[in-house]
Formats: sequence, structure tokens, C-alpha cells
Amino acid sequence: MIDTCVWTGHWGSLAIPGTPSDVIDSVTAVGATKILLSPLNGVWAHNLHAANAEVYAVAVTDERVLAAPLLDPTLPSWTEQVQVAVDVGAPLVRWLPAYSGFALESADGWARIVTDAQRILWVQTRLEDPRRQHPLGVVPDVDAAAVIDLARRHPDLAVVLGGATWKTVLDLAPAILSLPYCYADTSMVDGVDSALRLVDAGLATRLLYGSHAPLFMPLGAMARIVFDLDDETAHLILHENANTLLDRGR
Amino acid sequence: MTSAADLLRLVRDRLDPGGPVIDAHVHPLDNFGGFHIDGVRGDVDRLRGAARRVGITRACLFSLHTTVPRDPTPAQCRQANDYALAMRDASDGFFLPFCYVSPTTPAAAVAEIDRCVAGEGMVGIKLWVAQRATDPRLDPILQRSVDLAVPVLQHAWRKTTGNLPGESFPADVADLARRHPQARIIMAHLNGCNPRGVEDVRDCDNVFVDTSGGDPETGMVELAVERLGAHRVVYGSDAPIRHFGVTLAKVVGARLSDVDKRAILWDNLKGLLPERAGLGGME
Repeated sequence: MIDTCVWTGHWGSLAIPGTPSDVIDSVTAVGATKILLSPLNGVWAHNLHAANAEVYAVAVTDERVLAAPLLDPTLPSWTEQVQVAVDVGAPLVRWLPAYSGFALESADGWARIVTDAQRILWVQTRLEDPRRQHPLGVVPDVDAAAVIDLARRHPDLAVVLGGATWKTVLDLAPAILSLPYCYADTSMVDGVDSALRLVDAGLATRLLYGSHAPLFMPLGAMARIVFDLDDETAHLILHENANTLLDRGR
Repeated sequence: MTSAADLLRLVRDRLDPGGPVIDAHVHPLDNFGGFHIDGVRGDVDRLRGAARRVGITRACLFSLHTTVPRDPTPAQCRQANDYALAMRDASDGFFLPFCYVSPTTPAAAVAEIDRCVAGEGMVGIKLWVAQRATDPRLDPILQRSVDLAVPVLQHAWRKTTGNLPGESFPADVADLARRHPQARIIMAHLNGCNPRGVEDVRDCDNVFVDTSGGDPETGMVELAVERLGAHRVVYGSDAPIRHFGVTLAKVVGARLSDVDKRAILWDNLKGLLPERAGLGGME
């Protein structure tokens, strides 16, 4: 099982067990055997790239971990960081447009750089529900439709819509399915029969299991998949889709 | 090498609640979620089916009316309650209905409570966002809950982005609890109330908190148990807005003793509900 959405580090508005070992233990305890790990400590940093060293180091020592570095394309040095990702074999890079402060409508040049580097681009639309953020640190969600529009303009780029709600993913299902390398993660898919309804909409091969641990409990993330879906479909979402996708970034 | 099927079975085993579960906070599919359902029968079958898949034994149900108005008229409350009663009757008692009323019309609210709780055997009272819990128009409703020995489930949230005009903050619930020390109040939405909201009600022994609302954040149920005691926490899902299994995992996956988990999943709410809920002997 591949958990595509895992974080390590500190988060100001929520006390979390965020050391790498805590996080790895919590997601492997519910069955994850491969983890795409990103650094929370970079999210609020002026230069988030500095925090990537921690996940690169963990990936070197723990074969279950694949580093998923955070990249901020508004920083002049970001192309060097793309090259670092290539050099260390990080198959997937994450953008946080709401925290880095850029619009996806103006990101085509940067998207081409990720395409040329043959990395997978994960665009995180939400880290924390704006209703529960600290009042002095409110960060709005990224428009999920803008992520899909970016993917449409870059059909050769593998794009993952990260952190979208089930209703948003459902509404975007036809657009996601019209693109060859477009996926969505399940970390914020909630509600009765939500994963089932996404599968019914044809998305079984486009969903990636993500726990959003340690911000969210990994057992809950697993519950939405294993209770409602048959074993074959669950296996697609928990393993096969991510495995296929990661092959593009290896 | 563990097979995929074995791993899935292992995860399902880890999610086993280990005994009966009462969900304190469920709405009909008719209210939320964009389901295409075939009336009460379809609502019961799909909602109860989703609940039973994860091990829910009984579910407290409140309809907020099919149009979900924030300040419903007495007629809309009556329609909502009739729907909840119909779901109870079509579910072999799986759904335990609460009476939904608006404090905007307190006399009508009390009359509806008499019809539904005293007359039809509903097991609790539900208050949503028509008026904040500090409003004196809630007082006759709370007094009636004491007379009839049923709990009141009061919606609450602390939204950084701003509460609705009539939406209660946890501090409002504390005010209500102090005005009515004999009442038993379930404050909804632990995760929506967040750690500050837990502190707001900490010294109100007649306030219980349900674990519903918001995302399945790590450590919130443990925090509620630490600050309030396990005896003041009850499991709630807020289905269909939230997933029964995801919310159940907040309790089952919490770093708590099995005794505390049993209290949250069953014992505490069983103790709050009247005997006619029929929960005796189900352990």
C-alpha cells in the first residue's frame, strides 16, 4: 500500500506527533508499505526548500520512504531544487500555491520545467480547513478547477489534485478522466459513500490513497476505502494507481 | 509476504469497534449529500447500510428538513420530525429520533417537543443555528428537556472564518448549561469547537461533547478525554456529511484505553438516553 500524502514536522495550530519515526510508524501500522513524505516545516518558511533536506535524509535511510519535496517556483533558485529532486530520485514534487503565493493561471512556464524534469506534479489545494486555522494565519483553498486547467494545458505532465473534497473531485471527474495523467488523492474525501461515488463516476484508476498524516489519523483515511469498496477496487486506490504513476517519475 | 487481501482484512480488523456503538449525530440523506434516494425507505436502506458496514448499532437521527432552512418555521420542524419518525418506524428501531425545534418560536417548540417526545417517544431534542444558545428563548425548551428527561444536542462551532448569525460558540453552550444545571446537553462537533471550545465547557459537568465535525485530526479525542474525562465524550459522525468509518476511526484509533473507548462508543450515550431507546441488554 502506498500512502501518497504524508507529512513530517511541526504544525502551529495542532499538536501532532510529527517526527519522521512517529509518522512512519503511524502510517505503516495501518498497512502502508511505501510513503511519499513531505516537510511541514517548510510550509511557513520564507524559503521552504531548506526543509526538504530532512525528508531527503529519511529517504536515504528508510527504504519505505520516498521524498516528496516542496517546491516554490517563485523563488529564483527553484530550478536548482528541481535538479536536486531529479538527482536524488524523488519522483514527485509538491506545490503549495496558496502558501507560496502564486496563481496556477500564471504557472505554465514553471509547469514546463517540471514536465522537462519528468517529475510528477502534486498541487496541494488545502492543508487545513480554513474554518479551524489560526485567525492570524488564514490561508484560503486553491481552486481545484485551476489545477485541472493546468493539467489540461500540460497533457504530458502528470498532475495530482491534492486535498480536494469528494464533491469537488466528483464535479471534476469528467475533466480528470479526459486527461491521460491526471489523478486526485483521497485524503480529504469524506462523507457517506464518498469514495464509492467517485468510483461510480469512473475514477477507480485515478484515485490515490493519501492519509494526510500526521495532521489527520491514518486509520480514518483507510476506513473510507476499505469499508465501502471491494478488494479489487481498494487495491487500485491503495497501491496500483500510485505504483503506475510513480513509474513515470522514476 | 502478506497479500493485499490479508492487508485489507488486517485494516478492517483494526477498525472493529469491539462492541455495540451508538452514533449521537446523524442526519437523513434527504437533508445532505446530494443523494438520489427513494423516499424514507431508500433513505433508511442506504444510510443504515453504510452505518452497519462499519459497526454502528444505533444512530440518533435528526432531520433538519429537506430544504435545511437555518431558521425553520414550526411547520417545517413538524415535517422534519415526521420524516425522522418515519425513518425510525421503517428501520426496526435502528434510528433513534431527536425532536428538531427552533427557539425563534419557543411556544411552538415546546408544543412540538410534547408531540414528538412525550407523544411519539422521541429520545432527545436537537437545536441547530436558528438562535445562539445564549438566547433566553431557549430556556423553555431546556426546561421541557428536564421535565421529560431527555438530552439536548446543541450545534456549536468556532469558525475562524466566522459563525453564522444564530450559530452557537462553545462559550454559548457553557452559558446555556449554567442557566440549566439540571439539563443534559450534548455539544456537537468536537473538532469544530477545537481545543479552545473544550476549555469553554470544561467546568460545566452537564455538558457532553460529541466527536463529530471537521476533519479527523490527530489527537482531538484524546484531548477531549484529558480535559473533560472520558465520561463526557460521546461518539458522533455527522453522517452523511462525514463518513461513519472515518469518524469511528477517530475513537477506535485514539490512544485511549479500551474502557474509555467503550464509554465513548456506547456507555455514555446509553446513560443519557431514556429507557425507551431500548438499549438495555445490547452489550
